[in-house]
Amino acid sequence: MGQVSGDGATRARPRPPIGKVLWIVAGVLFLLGPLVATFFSSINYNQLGYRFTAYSNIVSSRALRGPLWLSFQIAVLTAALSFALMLPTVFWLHLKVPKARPIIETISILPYVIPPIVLVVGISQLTRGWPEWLIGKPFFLVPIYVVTCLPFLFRALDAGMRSIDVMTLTEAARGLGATWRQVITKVIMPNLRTSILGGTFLALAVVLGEFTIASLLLFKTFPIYLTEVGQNEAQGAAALSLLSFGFSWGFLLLLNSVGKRVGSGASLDIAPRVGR
Amino acid sequence: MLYALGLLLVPAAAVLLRAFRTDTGSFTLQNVRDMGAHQYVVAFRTSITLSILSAVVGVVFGGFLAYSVLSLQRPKWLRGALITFSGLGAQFGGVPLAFIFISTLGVTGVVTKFLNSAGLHLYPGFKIYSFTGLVIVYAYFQVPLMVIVITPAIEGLRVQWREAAANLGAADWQFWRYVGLPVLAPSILGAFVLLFANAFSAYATATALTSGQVNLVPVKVGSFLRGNVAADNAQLGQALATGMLVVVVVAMALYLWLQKRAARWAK
Repeated sequence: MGQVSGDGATRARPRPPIGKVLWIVAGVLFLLGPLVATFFSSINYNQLGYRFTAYSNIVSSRALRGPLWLSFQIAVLTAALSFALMLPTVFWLHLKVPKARPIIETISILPYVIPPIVLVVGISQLTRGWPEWLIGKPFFLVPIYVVTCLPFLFRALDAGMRSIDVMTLTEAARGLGATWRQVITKVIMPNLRTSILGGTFLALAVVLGEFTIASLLLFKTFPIYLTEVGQNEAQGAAALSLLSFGFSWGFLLLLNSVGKRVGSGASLDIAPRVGR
Repeated sequence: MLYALGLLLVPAAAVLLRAFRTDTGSFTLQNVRDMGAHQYVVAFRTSITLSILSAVVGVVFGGFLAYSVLSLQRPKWLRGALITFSGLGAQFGGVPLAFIFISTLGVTGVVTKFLNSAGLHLYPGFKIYSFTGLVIVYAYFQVPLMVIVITPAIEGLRVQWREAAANLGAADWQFWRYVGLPVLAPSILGAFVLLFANAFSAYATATALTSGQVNLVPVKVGSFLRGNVAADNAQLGQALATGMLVVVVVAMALYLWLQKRAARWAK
């Protein structure tokens, strides 16, 4: 266990790890440098000096609230619909058909494999000629985002169910006369609180960052709006970019801390492609 | 419960169906032939080259970075910080990422100006909205992704193997040549394929950064969707999308297979 070569008595370290330190310094510069640079250009008003006007403009902007609220609603609906579909499915998978796991896992990974742009091509082809009231509303994005989020939510739920004894809980509940609906809503769901919470954060992060699908289907969600506003002035663009990452990151960090508590830190092992 | 599975299957199957729907039945061959037109061949070649290059940068840079951080025991926080930041950095993308690099390395970017004042003029030799620029920008999400993907494999390298090799008189390079790299090889290859697919399917970043100046397949598909191209060619966009799908599906299948091989060493 404690055999790490830290004591120096058993193994002499003749050369300091200069190479490693260089790699780390380069890595930090490359990963943090652009963020710092962007922060500077967001507060740099050349002759006027440094000020936080861009940020206060964004915070006080009324026009921003509409798209933000819309994206938030879409995210919550996406999460709700996803869980409504997947909770019974994953439950059933664990309880009755563990043999179906490879099939379901393969299906759940598909949306991750298919590039969003290809998905859009398929959708616009499929929905050609559908009534405007159905495909013209931004909420048309919800079923699409359900598919986009599927790989991540499936994993979150799957990990959550693995950590509780589904079989025993269900048998106990059924034995006490609970209906199947009661088993899911009163027994399984409360035990999966953290997974469900984590999944919701994930849906928020994905929806608040998703660009390709929304922009090509011509919906004005939060990320689309950000980029439109951002075109006007350099400081605003820089500030908005940082803020939009801040949003997605905030939710992902929340997800991470939630995930740690359940002990299923694997929730980020396939990275959602936010807004690529 | 069955119906729930059905409902899960339907969206997923619809994705596949839709994706293959881009195949336009009996007219497919003509589209495939059209895809052979010079500009599309070039688009595929550019996309694939870009994806390979950015994947190589990601694998090498991310791999060494991950190994360096993981093998240094001293600052304990460094490891956690790298993993967390990589988890976030791999999500980077789209228009904000483009803006961030324009602010950094654009014509009036902070780093550009700094180098100018130091007498080093990046422009006009270098452009952030060029192919090279795209490689650099893509690296920004490829490096963290590599760190995430390769970390479990590096952690799987047991200290005992190193010690055993050292006891048998192996030099550092011999350990890597005969033990370390062969064990890591499937993971590294898998990571490369994943990074390749990741770059290949990126659309928003490329569009925002280059506004279509670099001829990439996703950008081409996007312009078909936006109707910037003559309408009678709409099928061609779908053929291109199918082409993309084929590339990505092959890459991901390869990735999953490599991951299985890599798992042999993890217990």
